[in-house]
Amino acid sequence: MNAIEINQITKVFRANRNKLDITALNDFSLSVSKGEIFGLLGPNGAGKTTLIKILLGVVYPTTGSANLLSEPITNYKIKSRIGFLPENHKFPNYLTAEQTLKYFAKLSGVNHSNLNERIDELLALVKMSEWKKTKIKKYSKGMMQRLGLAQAMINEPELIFLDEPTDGVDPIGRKEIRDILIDLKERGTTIFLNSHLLSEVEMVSDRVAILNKGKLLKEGSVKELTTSEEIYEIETSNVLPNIYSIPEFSSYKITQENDHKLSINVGDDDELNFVIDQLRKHRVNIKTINVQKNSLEELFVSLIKDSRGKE
Amino acid sequence: MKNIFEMFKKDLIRFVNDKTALLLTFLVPAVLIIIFGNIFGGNGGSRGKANVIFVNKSNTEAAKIIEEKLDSSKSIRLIKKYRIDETDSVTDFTEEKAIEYVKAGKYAAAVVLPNDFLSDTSVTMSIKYYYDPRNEIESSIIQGSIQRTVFTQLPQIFPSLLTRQANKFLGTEEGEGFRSDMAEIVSDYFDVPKDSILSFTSKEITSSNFLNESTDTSSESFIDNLIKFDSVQLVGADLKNPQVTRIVGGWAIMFLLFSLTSIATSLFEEKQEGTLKRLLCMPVTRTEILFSKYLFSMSLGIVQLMVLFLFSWVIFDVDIFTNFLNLVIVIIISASAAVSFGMIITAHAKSLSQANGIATLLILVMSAVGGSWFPTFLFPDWLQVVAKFTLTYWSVEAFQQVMWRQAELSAITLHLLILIVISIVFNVYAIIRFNKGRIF
Repeated sequence: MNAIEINQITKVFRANRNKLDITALNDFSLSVSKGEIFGLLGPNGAGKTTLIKILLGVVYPTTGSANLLSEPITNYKIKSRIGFLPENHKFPNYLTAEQTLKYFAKLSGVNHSNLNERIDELLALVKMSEWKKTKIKKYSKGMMQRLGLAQAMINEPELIFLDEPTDGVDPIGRKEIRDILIDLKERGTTIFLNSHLLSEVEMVSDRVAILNKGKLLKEGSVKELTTSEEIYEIETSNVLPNIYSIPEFSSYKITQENDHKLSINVGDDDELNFVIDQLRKHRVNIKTINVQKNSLEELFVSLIKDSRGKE
Repeated sequence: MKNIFEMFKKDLIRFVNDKTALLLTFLVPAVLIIIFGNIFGGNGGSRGKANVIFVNKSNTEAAKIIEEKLDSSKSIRLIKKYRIDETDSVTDFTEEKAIEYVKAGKYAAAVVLPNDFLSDTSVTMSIKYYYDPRNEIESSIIQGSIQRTVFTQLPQIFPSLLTRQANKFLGTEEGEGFRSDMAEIVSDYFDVPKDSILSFTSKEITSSNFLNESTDTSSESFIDNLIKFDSVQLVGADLKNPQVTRIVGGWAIMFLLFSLTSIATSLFEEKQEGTLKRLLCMPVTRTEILFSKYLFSMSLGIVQLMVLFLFSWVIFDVDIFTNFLNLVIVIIISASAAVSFGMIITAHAKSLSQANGIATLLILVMSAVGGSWFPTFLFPDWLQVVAKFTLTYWSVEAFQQVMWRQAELSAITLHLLILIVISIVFNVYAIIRFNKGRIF
């Protein structure tokens, strides 16, 4: 069951005369399963915010369609089951945290009977209880972000869009937000995460998609994207022989970094064991073996560079 | 000096790039100068004519001549006929119908030349003037134009009237003796033949006398005694403060437009702040967002106008309670039209500064053209037509009707209908634009 289904969406922003039209999304399709944390990645201007705006009905697609929680995005009532934390959001600064949450709760159709309890619970969750009656104009950026997260959860949504949720939050706060997201996931909430902080996305997301100039470059689970080609770093206690002269290693991408260290790319565990056997045969004493995974950041940079090179 | 020049250059670039500042600095004054120039004729433009009902009940030659002269006046336009709706025919105004029309505010004044305007035996010229001084300037111009027209055509009639008056008081025989004695005295003093003086004072009143002669202005005060100018104020005579009553409606709608447009354009501020985006992601329709803004603006506009009118009552003793219900109706519908104007500006503009610039320009122009500042009759004819395409015109007229004339609801139905239509059209257009999503 998919929480989000995007079918061939194209969004063109028509420009005034003498200016070029901007294609923010180009025939973009994507699915997000229910209950997963999905990370959307892309450089500035990739079309990430436009995609969220389209899904939430802020702008309309030029062509294509999308469903949220099995309902078309044109059905505005579906938004009562959705939470949203916009990037660089602001709330009316003359309201308190409590008033803000009440305002958004009422617009979302939250049952009034237990609203006060719900507000207290959420403010406690984002560690904002003591600021409940303070006007927003006195809040720091981190506090605004915590309140934003609370308002995104006020209607107990089945699907939450979070645009840069840890922006302006200190490392401890980030950890707390990550814990909240994992807790939400465990309760069955689908989370659509848009962040520039790739390591954050990597830490919490089940699946990610990389977007550039309105096109989907790669999509898959974090594990799939970061372990397609594994690099092992092998450290030895004795001096290595000339590795490049060993004929059994000729078909491997191998780098001898110094007399005691080499790195080698292998496809699977069998190949790794074969390499170890060959090293032992040449009387190499293995001290440590470390797997060097591709980080999401490396993959991201590599994909974006490739897509630019193809243009 | 170099630093000053660089900073000057930076300010110049900023100014040139600020389209709103350019608009307000050059276009607004230019447009207002054009309007003022046309109103006061400074640009060679001609002022529009004031419409005045004219009823000629006299069959005398003199009455016909007065009518001809008034017809060719540059200041007033005589309206002699009216349409009967039931039969869709046009007929001459009667004195009663003229009074009814002036009372209803359809025309500012009516001139009636009665049966006894100037008979063969009259010792005075009698003119009836019914008027509604809904605007002081308009009223003065109309009355002045009529009096001037009549006075300047009397160089030959007043000796005859003098002779008739002398004959009336002294009897024909003694009157003629008096005329002969006076002619002799004038003859002695001014060395003019006595026969020519007697011939001048016994002239009959004919069209050629009227048309070929003129009098100088110094004779007007003297002639004034020979004319019975019977003025009857039909409307507003009982008002405690006519001056403030006249202008309060015009200023009310102008301030309403300014304040309510700024609330409507605050949607742009919400867009900049990001609160609008969040709102759009809630389970509410764009129409609901727009209507919440509309409702708030309307409420504020109504309160603002109520305070303004209460203030004018407390400070200037303006009567707002005699026709209070109708005043409230005009306030509500005017507020609705003003908010709609703000909505359409918001729907069309691409930024807050653009919205404010366009709104300021249009509000000032509409206020000037629509009658908030000057009576529209002062405008050239073409501008009077343009005025009817502004919502200020219909609002100002409606306020005048209920406050100045204490008019019934039926008298302002057209005004209210037009304002309602403006509101509906503007709002529907704004909703369509909002739902198309272009401003977001």
